[in-house]
Amino acid sequence: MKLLDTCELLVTLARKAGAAEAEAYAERTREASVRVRDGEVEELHQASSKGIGLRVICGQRLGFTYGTDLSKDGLKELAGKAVALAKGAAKDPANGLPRGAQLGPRAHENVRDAVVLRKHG
Amino acid sequence: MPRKSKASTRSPLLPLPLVERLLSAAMSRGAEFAEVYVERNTSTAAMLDEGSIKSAQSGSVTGVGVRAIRGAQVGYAYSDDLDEAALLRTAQTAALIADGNREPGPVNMSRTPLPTHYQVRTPLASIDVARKIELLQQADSAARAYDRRVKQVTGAYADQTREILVANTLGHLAEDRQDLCRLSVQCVAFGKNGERRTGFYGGGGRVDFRFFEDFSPGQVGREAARQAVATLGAVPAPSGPQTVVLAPGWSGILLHEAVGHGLEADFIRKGTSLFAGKLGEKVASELVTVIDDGTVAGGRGSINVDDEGNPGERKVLIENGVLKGYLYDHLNAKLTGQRSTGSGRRQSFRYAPLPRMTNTYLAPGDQTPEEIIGGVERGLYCRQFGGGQVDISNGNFVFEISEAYLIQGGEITKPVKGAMLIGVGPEALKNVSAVGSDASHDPGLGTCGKDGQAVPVGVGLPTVRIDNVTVGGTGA
Repeated sequence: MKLLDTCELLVTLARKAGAAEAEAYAERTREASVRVRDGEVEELHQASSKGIGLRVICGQRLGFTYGTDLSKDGLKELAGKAVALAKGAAKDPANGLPRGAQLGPRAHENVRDAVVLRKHG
Repeated sequence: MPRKSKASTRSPLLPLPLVERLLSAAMSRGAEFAEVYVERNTSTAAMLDEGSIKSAQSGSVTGVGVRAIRGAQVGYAYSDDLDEAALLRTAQTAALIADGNREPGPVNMSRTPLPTHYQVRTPLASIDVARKIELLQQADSAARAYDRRVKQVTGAYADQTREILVANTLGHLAEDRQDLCRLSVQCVAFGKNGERRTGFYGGGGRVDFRFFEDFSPGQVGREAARQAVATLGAVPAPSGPQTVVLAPGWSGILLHEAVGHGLEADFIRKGTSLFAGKLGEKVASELVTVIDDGTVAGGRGSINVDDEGNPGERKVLIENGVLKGYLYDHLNAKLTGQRSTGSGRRQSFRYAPLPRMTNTYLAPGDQTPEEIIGGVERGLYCRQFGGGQVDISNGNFVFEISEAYLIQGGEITKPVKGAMLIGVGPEALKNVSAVGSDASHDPGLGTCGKDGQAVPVGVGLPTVRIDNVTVGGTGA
């Protein structure tokens, strides 16, 4: 599944689980490094990783979860846990996701369109 | 007596035939040794500030690290994608450290039966977060109720349930579940003329959540508050060389930093430690016996098995002042013809293991704390250590003492502020002139950092007197 689809699914699941607002952030990384000493490779390092984080707000309370299991069951568990965590946190009127003009001049476009626009220039 | 763990009835973190294929792939270019490390770690953390829970979070991370070794050359790759194709690519990448071609033979793995040094029946990850938050609220109320001068209170609770599987081409296969938790409170007491003093206390370990019924949040909050209030109105610490007495427990941080790191086999092999080449030599007062023990029941640094599949051990590092041994991981042991001491540890599957400490402490002596303090005409009693810095290459250390008192005529008297202990690890060891019978471990607070990797550790010390320690202070 594409990262954007995974994020959309997680946000939907979080709202179903009771979140008033939800934000998902996913990333996939590949990195490599090589260390050479006196002409010999001393250490070779390579990594591939992916992960997703979820921020939910219910009644001005914030909960946060993260994980590496991007299956539907894994996402469901993240959504449920985030809402449960938020219920234990204190209310803070400053909690809230940006909306409207706070999102900048392209706020009227939906996310998917914005991604397509950027991809094609 | 450590109990033998029951054979695991649950399925392994990764199917064993796949683990074997990964080992073969990692060996496919002629490496001498390969290892597969699988980890699943579920953690929870909550923070309380100004009386309310500011944040609560939880996460679960699974991944696999593959290591291939040839000589002193290490190939390391990891992936948190558990798909077979992704894992095989990971193993093949680690294999690239060697440049030949070879048909690796089959690996016959056998499970090592392990003793267990921690009996956590209910995984901490499965305890309701509301109960964890409740600990913080109780600790917060207790700290505030202790004294009205206690104003700022922050509390932190963190736990993890970490499952690991390690397999290597020597045929070792080991699995372990390592639960860990910690509750801590920091607070600030406000005195006259804007004076502020901080207190910090907490603890935990590889223990059931029930641990907090005895080690209660109320006790944690009150002790943090006591520390902050105790030194309000303290006079400036006298500076210059003097006799210091260290309180039991957490003071062991001094031993960990100023001595323990210098006994880790990577610094020994590379000759960067001042303890290199000194086995059998007298490096400390004959009162000093230093032990690193991964088998302490429920200890924060305890391990049934290290992150290379070797059982945790109790190692005597210094015995009656004589240097007896170092802390070995697999790689450094192999390169120097030694055996691993079960000291190969890593922060997570994202890192290759390093030789590390577990629970490091000074063995008890035969004097009572009262005798030790009573024998000091003029000196400094260091009850609580704050932060510090150590240079491993020469043992130089500086530690801030957050709660200190004068010793006058054999009695603990006025609190002092701003005391710093300044010295050289091995010199301080030679100047140890009394060791108490009150063996003591810290309550389970320590996290040790090395090369960017953090691992939980324990420290410990009975009451100890050290002569001629330089104290930095602003008083005369």
